[in-house]
Amino acid sequence: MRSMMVLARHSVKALIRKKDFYVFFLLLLVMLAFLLSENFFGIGDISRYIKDVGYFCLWLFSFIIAVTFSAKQLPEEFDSKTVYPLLAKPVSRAHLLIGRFLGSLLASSLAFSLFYVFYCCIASLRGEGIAVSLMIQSYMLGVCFMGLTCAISILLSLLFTYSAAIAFSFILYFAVVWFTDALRIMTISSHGIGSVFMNVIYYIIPHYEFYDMRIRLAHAWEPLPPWAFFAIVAYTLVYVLIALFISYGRLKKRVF
Amino acid sequence: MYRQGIRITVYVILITALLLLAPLIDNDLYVFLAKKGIVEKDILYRTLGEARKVFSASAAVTADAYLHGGSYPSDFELLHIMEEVHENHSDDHDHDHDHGHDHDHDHGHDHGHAHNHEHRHDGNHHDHEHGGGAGRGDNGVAAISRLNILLKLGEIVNISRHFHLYGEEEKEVLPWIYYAVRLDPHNVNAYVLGGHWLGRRLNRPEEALTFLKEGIRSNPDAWQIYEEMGLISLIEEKDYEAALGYFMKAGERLRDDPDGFDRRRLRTFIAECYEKLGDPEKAERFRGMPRGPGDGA
Repeated sequence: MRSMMVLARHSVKALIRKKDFYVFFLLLLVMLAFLLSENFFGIGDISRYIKDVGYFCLWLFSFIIAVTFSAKQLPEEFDSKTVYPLLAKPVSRAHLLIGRFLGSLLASSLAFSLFYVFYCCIASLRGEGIAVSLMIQSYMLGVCFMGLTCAISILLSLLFTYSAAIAFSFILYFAVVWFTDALRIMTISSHGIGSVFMNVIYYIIPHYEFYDMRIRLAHAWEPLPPWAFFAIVAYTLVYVLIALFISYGRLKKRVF
Repeated sequence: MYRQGIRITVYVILITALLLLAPLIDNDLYVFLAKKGIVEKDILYRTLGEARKVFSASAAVTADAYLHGGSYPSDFELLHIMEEVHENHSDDHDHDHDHGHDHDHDHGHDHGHAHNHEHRHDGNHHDHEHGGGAGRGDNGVAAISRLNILLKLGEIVNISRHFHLYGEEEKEVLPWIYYAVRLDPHNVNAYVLGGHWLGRRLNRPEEALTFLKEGIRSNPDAWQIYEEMGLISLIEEKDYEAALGYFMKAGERLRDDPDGFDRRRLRTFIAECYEKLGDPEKAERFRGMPRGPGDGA
């Protein structure tokens, strides 16, 4: 356990040393400041476009940090050969994997948290603000999204090269977000063996859209019902465990 | 270290000032170029090239989505909803399909107060469900097996209720209309929409007319913009002479009207103007003009 936490802390320190986080934070700052300064037809207190575009930016930047950070955790170890002294000590492959995952999760969640706090402050300056319950719920779902993204990126990094893993992570995310509505309708409408096939695909793909609360935040809709929220958290835990299990299987077979 | 601190502070102040001034300068520059009729010099125009038309259309669609609470049902969802409605009809369930998508918001409620979160928490009066009846659940969720948890979650997470903004909330669509015309000054529909929202929904006729005049500068032959200006002058400003002038200009520019519907509508407005100006003979003349082909009356 201690070794996993040490590995995790090391990953967080790596995030602080890297420039990516500061660049994205500055970009978010620029974007939100620009949106806040806009004046449309002399009408004040227009706020939903700020919340909408602002949340999209913070979501995208956090996603980029999570993918790029987690996808390089293990390949970097292998390329720099630092995996040998690690495994020579009593750090098992499972500990290495979980430690790196926890580190990626902590780092990306930290970045998301800072972006989110800044976003909430800006969103509260104008218009109707955001309901507290919705704010908390979307934050927690955002952290779950980071966990899911990190687990999938780590898995992909063990299946492909570092660059391919990043590319596939992005392709997977945008494909799911753009086509999952159509897939859901097709799954509901299908019958017989087709229905089984569609349901299998529907269950295999990671449902990134469950975590995106942008429309609810921007347009002041109500939060998700509690059972749906807990179901999504449970789904995240199950999916992350499965992804890490498959990753462990790949890591175990790897010959150094 | 002291000097470095001062340097950083100066940079931060300069960048902040630039960030706050940039939209102001950018907006003023655009208005200046629009007045001169040379919007082609605008930075967005030059940067994006022809692709700006795609972004402009997308901005107009986003404005419509904002009017519907941020979520506009996709074609797949609409198809699914229509199938549900059809199934419920054929099952002879007793439900009212006259949902009264009351675009005039005449619900008989006191709409003087601002709409806030509480209305939506109450499953409020403005939520009109498509395809009600036994085929759908409380939230309009389709009849999916309880065991199929992911599909159920997908339905819950996805906002597909039909909802319209009302009153002052409607101002939220304005940024997207602004960007729609900014990206494509020849997007006549965006100008007409903007004029409608500003002039007739948000009770800002002066801003609406200023906005529409910009549209005329970029689109001098756009009869739709003149028509909208006429409607704002007629209904909101009660300036019947100005309204008449705008409607006449719209009529002069109207060319492509195969079924005569647009021309008949303009004549009705012109007749209304003459009526208000106390010239019933001319009003009657415009009302009594020969109708176009396809007129069922």
